[in-house]
Amino acid sequence: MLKEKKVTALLGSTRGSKTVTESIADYLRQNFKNAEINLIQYRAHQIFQNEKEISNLIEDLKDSEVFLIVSPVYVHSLPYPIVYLMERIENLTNKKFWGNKFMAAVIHNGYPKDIQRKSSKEICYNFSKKMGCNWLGAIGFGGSPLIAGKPLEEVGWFTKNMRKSLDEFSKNIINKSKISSKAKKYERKHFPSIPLHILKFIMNILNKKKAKENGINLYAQPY
Amino acid sequence: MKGLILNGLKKEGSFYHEIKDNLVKTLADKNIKNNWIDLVEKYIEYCNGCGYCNMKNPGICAKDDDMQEIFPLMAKSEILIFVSPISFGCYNSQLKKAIDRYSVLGLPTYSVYKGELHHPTRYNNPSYFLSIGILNQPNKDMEDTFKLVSNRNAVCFFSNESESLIIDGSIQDNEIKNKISKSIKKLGVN
Repeated sequence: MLKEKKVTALLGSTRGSKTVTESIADYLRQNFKNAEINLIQYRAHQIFQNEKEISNLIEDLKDSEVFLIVSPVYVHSLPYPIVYLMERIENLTNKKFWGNKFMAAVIHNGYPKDIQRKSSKEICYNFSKKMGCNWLGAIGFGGSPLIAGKPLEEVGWFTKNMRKSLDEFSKNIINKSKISSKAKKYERKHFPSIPLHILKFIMNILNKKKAKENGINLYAQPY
Repeated sequence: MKGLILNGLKKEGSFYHEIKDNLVKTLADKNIKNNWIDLVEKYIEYCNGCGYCNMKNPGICAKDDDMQEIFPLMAKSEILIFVSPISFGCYNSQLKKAIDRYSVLGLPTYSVYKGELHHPTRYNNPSYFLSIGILNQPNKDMEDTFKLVSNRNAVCFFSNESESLIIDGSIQDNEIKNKISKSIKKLGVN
């Protein structure tokens, strides 16, 4: 069990507060709260240009046993503010700081296949390893547009396995154990097996309909 | 043929001049007009995922910064090259800030490519993609991740050919020229 009743999370979405990143963080916060553990969160895009906020993040990390990254994928890796903060944290801390700490990540995007989240998970792992932190593991989920910043419970059946995976993930964090095969099993079951050409067809119909309603040309080539 | 090099290295950092001089010359020898851009000298804002370039004004970014000069170059370049120190297996933040703005050059529609769902490109470029990553010392995990990130970007850009070159601190200056030359050759650029 965690000795310090505190987990510090860095959130990667640059969009504001109604995001899938926040939906996931809120869900985890409730799970941790049930175990009397406080989740402190920092939105990377709100703090990366503010030295005082970066200091606050380091202070919170100092007395947290677990550092969590919850982030979307931007162009097949982590968003700029997260990469920037990783570089800053590397310069502001040392191996002694990280030696007794644990790290894990939850990565999400719209795409169904795990390969489209793999590089972001690996970047988190590499950061953890370079810092000398104990890596617990990462899970990831596709289908972000279907969640669209809503509480995960409200989304219904689509997040059923995602929530089960996050429940297992939370237990693992609380027990400082490696992310379990059970969490991974539900992660794999999250996205329903719909043939990609059908998914593509549906998504394109929706986007083209929206473009027609708004009178825009999706295929414009301004350059 | 046109080439664009987005550089995340600092001018005073390791290998800057060796890479720039050799890369620019190798491309020029192949009659490729190329633009080397030092991102550190540019004012670039981070992508806040506003969706303007996607479904509000497709292909146009709402941010009025130096990416407005870089987007047309990216749209017209058959060869795109990223040069960067490797940060935890990723490009460094300097380059990543520019890459995150890529969605301007993608369509909001979907296609199935190499067995995955992707947004097609708006301009059918770049045909060739090369990434050059710099590490102080060899590190297999970071090298593997960098190759994976580069490979994923090549798929995302729908590039026909791609290569990834990693240069670490153990390399001799005179080897850089050969390595760059080999990478360009492997890309199949004629």
